[in-house]
Amino acid sequence: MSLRIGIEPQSRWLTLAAGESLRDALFRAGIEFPCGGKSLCGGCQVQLLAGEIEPDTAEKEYFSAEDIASGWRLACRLKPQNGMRLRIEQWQHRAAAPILSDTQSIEPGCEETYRIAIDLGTTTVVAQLLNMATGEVLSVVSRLNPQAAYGADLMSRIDYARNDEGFAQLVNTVRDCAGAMISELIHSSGIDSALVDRAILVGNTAMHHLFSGIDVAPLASVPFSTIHGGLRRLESAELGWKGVDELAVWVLPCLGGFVGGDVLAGLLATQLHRERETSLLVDLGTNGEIVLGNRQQLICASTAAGPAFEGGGILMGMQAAAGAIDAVELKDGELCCHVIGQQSARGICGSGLVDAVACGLELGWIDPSGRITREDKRIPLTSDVYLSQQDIRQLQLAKAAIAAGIELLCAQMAVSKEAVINVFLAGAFGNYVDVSSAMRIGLLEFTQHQIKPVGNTALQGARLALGLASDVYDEQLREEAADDTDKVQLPELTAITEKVVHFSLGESQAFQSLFIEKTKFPESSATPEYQPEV
Amino acid sequence: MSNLDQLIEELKRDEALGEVELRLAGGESVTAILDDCRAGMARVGELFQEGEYFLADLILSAEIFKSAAALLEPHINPEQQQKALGKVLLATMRGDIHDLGKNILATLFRVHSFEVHDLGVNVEPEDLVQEVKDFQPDFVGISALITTSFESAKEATDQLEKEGLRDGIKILVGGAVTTPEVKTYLGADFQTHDATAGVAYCVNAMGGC
Ligand code: B12
Repeated sequence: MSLRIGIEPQSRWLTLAAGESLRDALFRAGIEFPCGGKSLCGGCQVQLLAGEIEPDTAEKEYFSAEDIASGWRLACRLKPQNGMRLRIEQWQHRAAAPILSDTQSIEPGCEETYRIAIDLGTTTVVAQLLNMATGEVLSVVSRLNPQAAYGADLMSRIDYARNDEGFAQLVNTVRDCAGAMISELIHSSGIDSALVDRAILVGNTAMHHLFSGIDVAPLASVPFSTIHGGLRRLESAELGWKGVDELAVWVLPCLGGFVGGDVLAGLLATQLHRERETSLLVDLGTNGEIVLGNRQQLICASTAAGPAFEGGGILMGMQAAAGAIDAVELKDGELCCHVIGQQSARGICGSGLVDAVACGLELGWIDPSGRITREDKRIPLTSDVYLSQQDIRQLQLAKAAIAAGIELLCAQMAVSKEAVINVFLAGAFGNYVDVSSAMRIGLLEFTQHQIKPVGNTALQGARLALGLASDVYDEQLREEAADDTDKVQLPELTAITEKVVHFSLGESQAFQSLFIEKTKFPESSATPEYQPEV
Repeated sequence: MSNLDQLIEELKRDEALGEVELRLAGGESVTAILDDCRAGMARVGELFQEGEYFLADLILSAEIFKSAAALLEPHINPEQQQKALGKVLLATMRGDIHDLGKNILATLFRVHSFEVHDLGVNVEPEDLVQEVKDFQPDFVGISALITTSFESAKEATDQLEKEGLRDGIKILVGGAVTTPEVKTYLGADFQTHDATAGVAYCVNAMGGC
């Protein structure tokens, strides 16, 4: 009799020939045993997702009790069992490196299908069409989120959606937008729309709710309860999409509070939940989302920074558009501003603001309390653009909200900031802000080698999620969860959603004094990595 | 000639407290010392309004003041005990849990000899109304940091109006997201983004000092 074993993250079944050892079968499937299967190196770690197998002495020696309890085993020691499911550690690391850039392909699959990844942001919507057989991104479209007409920031949209009419309007606008983008992708690439079988959509909590047609009233006030309920599956017909028949849209679930499916996608992209060592994922934006964790534990929080990082609430602040100062540096004690586009400066955007304040601190024009020490009470940047005292105060509030949030999560998990191996920066601002300036103002209290800007992890994660399940595999899983048919579960996702704990910063007694403390700037640029260019 | 007010203005904690002790030992009246402390605090408030000082400075000044008051406390004889300047009821309304600004405000009111009752955060409108009846404040301060809490604030002010409680009190609203329109919407008497301005308004309304 042959045995069948499920392997992740490929989500496929591996059939063992009668009498075949697990090691041979896994080897055949491409798993390496660096020491030749002698249990010397620990290179063949797997995690048991389903099935009961007692660890043997070698495994007990190699893994901690916690690891054992959460299913970690050595593939070379395992006895096969029918129906057991394994997650292969090796493949994670290999996958981790290339996924960090943006139109990166995913692992090629064997099916001749096309799928679509959609990142539904508050401001921008991006969609990509992938050829699943090759794993390549075929084409990309992006648009501004048309909901912006009903309010620029999330809270105002949530407010708008509190009556039925407003709600319907926001739901329809965003669904129509996604539908139109999908049609555009399909038509421009000239493939048969019947071959496109699935789209995965990721978005923050509010976007998740609005796209799925879930009431957003609970998001308007405490306790901000969000609907979890796993992956949602909506059919193109019920979304009112014309021209795209029989397309299933899966919406990635939220993690809790204001931590949405975009952050879940970020975890898929950065593999935080897979590492033994602890890492941090930070999405710097109006609403900052933070996840800290490792393969044992995951803890997330959202912290409201406000619009300063996007140039909002700043006297001469503006979006990162033509005419904005987007970078400032010190050359021979003088400030040099870089302006987007070939024109003179009209204002300053978030990255420019952080740079300018970092330089101001270096020059002693701003003291650690945030006070401007110059007579004119300004930080002059160009003949037309300067920063006011209030601008610095706004930045102090924004950076304090992030820094205090990070600090509290570290305290909650009892890890020191030094022990965090990676600080992944997601989101637009996180990827164009100058890391050393962010360090100088105390926004990121880490060292240069810890901090890694990783691009649009929401989109990367959506793409990876497309490859998570083959149809055969998910039919099987759906049968297993027959009682709850419209909630499709993907083991790879539930591994995260079941583990992650949402921590509400608002309820923390410690937040207040920590926040006030973090409004200050670090005394000096003592951090060895910081080297202002001279 | 003492420079206690200046020491407080400059946030020189140890020196300020040393000065208080020295003047107490010199037999000076508690009221005179306290007046100087208040003068220093008033300057801190002005500097905060001007943007020279920020949150940490404000909190540090309040701590200095509290320590000074604690040193003076045993020397105050009961007859001299100052009457509260007025009564203030504070709340962050249902839907909102931001309380940093409100807590700072409470501290500043206390520094200025107001009796403060702070209902905390996520306060139901009817609880605020009930407390207005029980505590009988001169001022009601509503702190709002998210726009969605304006509704519950409105419920409360409407109810106060309906029950004929509105005329006896002055209503202040504050917090980063409030605007003059919010003041009109709620029918409030004063709106600000600055705690010290709110306190100054109340001090004035009570006849100043
Ligand atoms: C710190 C902070 C938090 C902390 C709050 C901690 C706490 N215990 O208070 C945490 C992280 C928990 C938090 C959570 C949220 N926050 Co928040 N938060 C902020 C932030 C960064 C600073 C607010 C602050 O404390 N400022 C410092 C204090 C001292 O200033 P202040 O409150 O204005 O008070 C001063 C004056 O206004 C005055 N004052 C205040 N009240 C009163 C009242 C009276 C009567 C008077 C006279 C004066 C007065 O006195 C103070 C000193 O002068 C702002 C962004 C910003 N840059 O302002 C967002 C902000 C307020 N938050 C916001 C949001 C949306 C949220 C969340 C819903 C989202 C999330 N990420 O989870 C949650 C939910 C909380 C809830 N239910 O209310 C939004 C509100 C937007 C809107 N349109 O409503 C803001 C504006 C950020 C943004 N643009 O996105 N937040």
